[in-house]
Amino acid sequence: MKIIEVKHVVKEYKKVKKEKGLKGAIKNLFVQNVEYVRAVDDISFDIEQGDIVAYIGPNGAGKSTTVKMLSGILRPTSGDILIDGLSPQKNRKQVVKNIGVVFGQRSQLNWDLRLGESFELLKRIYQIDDELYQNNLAMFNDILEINKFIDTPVRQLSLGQRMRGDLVAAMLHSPKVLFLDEPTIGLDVEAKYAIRKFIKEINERNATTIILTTHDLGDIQELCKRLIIINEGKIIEDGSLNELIDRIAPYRELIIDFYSPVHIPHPKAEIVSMNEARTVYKFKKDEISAAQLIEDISRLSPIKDISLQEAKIDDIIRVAYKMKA
Amino acid sequence: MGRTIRYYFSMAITFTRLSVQSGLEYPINLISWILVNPIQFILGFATIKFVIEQFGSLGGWGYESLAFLYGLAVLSHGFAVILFIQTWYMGRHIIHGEYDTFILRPMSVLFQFLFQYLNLIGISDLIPGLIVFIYGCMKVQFTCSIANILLVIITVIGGVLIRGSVWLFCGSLSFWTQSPTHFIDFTLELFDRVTMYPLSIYPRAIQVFFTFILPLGWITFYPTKDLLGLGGSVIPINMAFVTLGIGVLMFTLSCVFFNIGMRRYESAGS
Repeated sequence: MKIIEVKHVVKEYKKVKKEKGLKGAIKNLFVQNVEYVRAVDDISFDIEQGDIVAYIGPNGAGKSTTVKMLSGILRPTSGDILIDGLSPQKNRKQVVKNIGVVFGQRSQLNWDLRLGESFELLKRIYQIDDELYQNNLAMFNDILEINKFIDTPVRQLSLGQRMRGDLVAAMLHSPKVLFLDEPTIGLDVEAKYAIRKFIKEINERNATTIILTTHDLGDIQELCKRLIIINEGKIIEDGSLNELIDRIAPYRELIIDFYSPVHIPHPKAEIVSMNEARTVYKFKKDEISAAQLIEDISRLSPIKDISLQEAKIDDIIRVAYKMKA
Repeated sequence: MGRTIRYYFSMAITFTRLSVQSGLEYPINLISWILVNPIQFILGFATIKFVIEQFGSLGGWGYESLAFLYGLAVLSHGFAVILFIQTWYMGRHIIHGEYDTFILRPMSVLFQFLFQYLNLIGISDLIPGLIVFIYGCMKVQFTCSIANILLVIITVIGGVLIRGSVWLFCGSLSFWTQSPTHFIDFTLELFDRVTMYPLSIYPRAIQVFFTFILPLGWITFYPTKDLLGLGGSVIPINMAFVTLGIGVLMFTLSCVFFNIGMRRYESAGS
């Protein structure tokens, strides 16, 4: 079932170019140099219920703008968005009951009061019934251990604790869709681990659909089956991580340590480097399997040790970011 | 409809309770405001007293009626500051994209904005207002009948709505201009001059302006004339009801203006 439908969505911003200096400042008062910038330029995609999708791209690519349009904060200049069949712009109050949003750079928690107070306020705002509220809190506590700091004022929480609090706040009303805008930004390994575990868990238990923007490749590798890459407002890639790897970097590297320096070429593998007894082969997955390659080589010279290296994901993403739609 | 009203009413109470709790987190701040803020109103009142002692009356108004008028003005100012002070900083909220959170909740954005930042400090304006007003009531020997008290309450509600509407309107301009503040000091000054002194001290043209164009004269001047029986009324309805009517109308228009502005809301880059 399609829970999110995006059709030909465009978001244009008015950008005023300012001239420099005092003379420029006076001129700016009378003549405006207006320019229209397309932050999001005709994007379309559907997301199925229960999917975890990474929505990635370089800074300023249009990720946050898209998330803000999907969640009803911004109005698209043109195009249609449907969340569970409803437009977040036209049916805001209906749609927001079904979504939760976390912005890594901003908190919705009440700065002055203990964390629990913010949860209780949300319980009233969303009119969550007692049983669901208690069950949700208990389940979230299992993974995020929020009870340890639920009575601490939000201003005294660490970034990791605050982010856990924000995740709980966004999920208290059991929304069908969760938008996460850079949820692991600036967090330590432990906090990242807890947050990824939480995302997996709610996805499995409640089939919550999750859309995640991130710069953390670990998030993508661990969580997301599907990847949408956006650059300069256009979608340049939409598929699974493996598909992307196969297309951009179908190579793997086999590192072999022999007992002595030898030169053993192979018709289906290219020798990248030879250093003492170590030789590095580069080969295409679909041309020869690693096992076959090792077998062929070991027949010619005894092998002491081997290791296999996949293409590095950050290299792949870097290449992908440079592609144009 | 009934359910919605009950929901918003109970949320208003919840937000008020949270504001009190937040305020109590910083008790020294609260106390210092309550100690210092009344001084400006006491001094303002002392000035009026001085003027009257020199000239005998102001625009045909004696000292007692002026005390009543001044008290009523500070009283409605105090309530307006508690409920609407946030609108002074609306531009900043808009530019910094702080309405995002409100949009994401299934509740009126304006309601959340007004109640989330409910301003407890406004009590420091309310206290001197009450004191001066009660003093004024005693001086004019105001009859404390139930009808009269109700008329005062209606006047205050209307006056608070008129003040709030002007602020909300000025704040909403930021949706178009994307700049932080508009006319705030200016409107504050206007409210002070127009509501704390009788409108009759000004030239005819200014009186007309503040009666029909920017109806600030209704916040205190006209209702006080009726309440104290100073005469000059041309219509048979009590002015308190006119004040309330104007207040409700202006506030409705300002809400509409705010909602039109919300369509232009652009959040902020993250």
